[in-house]
Amino acid sequence: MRRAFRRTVRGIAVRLSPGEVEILGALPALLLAVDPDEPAADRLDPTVYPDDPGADAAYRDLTRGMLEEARTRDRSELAVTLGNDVLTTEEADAWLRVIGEARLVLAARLGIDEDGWERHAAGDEPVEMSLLRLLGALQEDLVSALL
Amino acid sequence: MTITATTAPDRVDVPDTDEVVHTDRPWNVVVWNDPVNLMSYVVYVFRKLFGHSPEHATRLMLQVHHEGRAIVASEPLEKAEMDCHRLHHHGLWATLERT
Repeated sequence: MRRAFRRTVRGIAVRLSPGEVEILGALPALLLAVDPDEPAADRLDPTVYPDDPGADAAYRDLTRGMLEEARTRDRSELAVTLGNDVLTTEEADAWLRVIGEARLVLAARLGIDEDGWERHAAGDEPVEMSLLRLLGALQEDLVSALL
Repeated sequence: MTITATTAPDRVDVPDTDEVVHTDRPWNVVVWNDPVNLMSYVVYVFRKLFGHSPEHATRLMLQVHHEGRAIVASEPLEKAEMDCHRLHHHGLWATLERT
């Protein structure tokens, strides 16, 4: 199978199809549009002290801004470096996080809550499922290039 | 994580206790299984954030996968909260509990 990412002496070499570039380029907008009321939002900003709502609220007050800023930086990094032939490790890490975040959102929208879902291949699966698989393959490929 | 079927519990059980709270006692950073993150990605994140060897990171990932959770660090509260934040930034499901 074609490798989309490969480690070279210059960094992580990128070989994406035009379709893959288009899909990755659409991820920042997908993530920006996540509604705070949808299940994905809880997964992206999980409870840290499940038995102590007060401590949890204090933790969130402290970290929510940091988390949003970090994710915004990752999305900009992806958008800015999307046409590049080679990525630094830091840029590749930002790609990994944006892809991972998008997968969590898609899986939450598909109602995936148990392991084993990827074995149930269906011919007419929803577009979110195809996207989830494709992003998983790209992330796997990028991780193996980084390791 | 993907591949094998296990279901993660959906909450952390912290025992009720009337003991005096020792704030200087370390806190456990707990990572929970989820059906979406790739096994290889979870290993990569453990290695990157905690400097674990490939073997240790893989063992922890498999523990999360098979047992539903694993303690990835025990450390002072401030550091534990920061590690929790970094895990969330990487899309992993992490909580804190007293040791």
